[in-house]
Amino acid sequence: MPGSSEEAAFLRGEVGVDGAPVEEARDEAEIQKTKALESLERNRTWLGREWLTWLLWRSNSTAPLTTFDGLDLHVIFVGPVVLQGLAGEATELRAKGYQSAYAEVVREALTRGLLVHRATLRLMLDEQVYEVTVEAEQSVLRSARLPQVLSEDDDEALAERLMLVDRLGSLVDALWEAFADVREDAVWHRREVPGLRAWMTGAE
Amino acid sequence: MPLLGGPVSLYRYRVLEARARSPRAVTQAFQDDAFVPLDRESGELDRASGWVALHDPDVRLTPSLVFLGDDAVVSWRVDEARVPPALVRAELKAWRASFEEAKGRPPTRREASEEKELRLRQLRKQAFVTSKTYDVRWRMDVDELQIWAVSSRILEEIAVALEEDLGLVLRPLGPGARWADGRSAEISPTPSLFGAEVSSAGIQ
Repeated sequence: MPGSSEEAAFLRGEVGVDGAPVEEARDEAEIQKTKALESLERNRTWLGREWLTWLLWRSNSTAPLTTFDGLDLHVIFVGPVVLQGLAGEATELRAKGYQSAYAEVVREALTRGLLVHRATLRLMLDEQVYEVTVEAEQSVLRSARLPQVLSEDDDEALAERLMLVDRLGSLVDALWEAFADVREDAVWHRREVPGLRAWMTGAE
Repeated sequence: MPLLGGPVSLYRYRVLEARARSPRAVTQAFQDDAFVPLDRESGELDRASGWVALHDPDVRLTPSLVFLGDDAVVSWRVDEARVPPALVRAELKAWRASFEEAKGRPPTRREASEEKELRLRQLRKQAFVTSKTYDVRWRMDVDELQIWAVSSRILEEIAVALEEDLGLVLRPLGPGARWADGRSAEISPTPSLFGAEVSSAGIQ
């Protein structure tokens, strides 16, 4: 009579009725591909990657990406950018350097299905400038730089700092909403995706 | 205290449920799981954690210390007595040699395990204790919670403490969750962005 672990392995399809493995161990490439797919599915990470990739394309123009409190919100990608996905053997690409996100090598990787997973954004709202690293999967504001706190009193300075943090969160939210409005609409497939693809391939 | 100054790195969550909301109840909940320092004399534990005030980790929590306007702000303090594993191994190696010489046989597993625990307790009494605090801000007016940390282990630990102490049910504010929050349209990955492999995987 088979043991419980052997029976469980049989039910999972890992071993046959004779207890022998039904297939050879999966090769490394298959394991990496499975991990990349799981990462893409987790928490709808693919949607976050579409968002950041769309932002990269739109930020290539000098036009404001959206508005916040009636003011134009401009975005530029600065610092390193991490792309993830499936492109043959590669599941991740890191590009370093000031504005490396706009480099030709990055755009070429985008055409192969590696989309933006993590990036550092500079957000400019009127005279205020913020910098923050964002990710496709989770709502993290990482290594953020805020505008200078002007209050000198400790309590007022803390309140002002927290107000700036909240403002930064709201700006990132505004960028998400701008994307979500487009993503939900028919223009996503009719206008945005063709435009994005044209920019990736240099046909724009 | 990153909330008070320095680089900003934080995760944001939506508060879906809360057992306590009044200043008195919230303060009491934090007070009930307040930080208690390690008992250096016994050496039994190598880690202690609990809630402390944002401005001063050594004072008792009161509503005036916990609340900043509408926000509840506290810190999660973690103290650890770190004993270098190499030191434990060296001490046990020396003990094993003297044991074999005295008794003419190697120690049993039980004897070795008891000796290891004894040595660990002694070494913990002399160990250097590291102390770290991670800030937590609950914006009660908008039901947003911020954990000012980036380590996944700490984020998980704090989320569990918040659930146990305050009955907080949290949902990460990542792109996937945001879509589920406010958008009704069913969407799937854009095939021409991710490539055929992903679209045929049927990710929803």
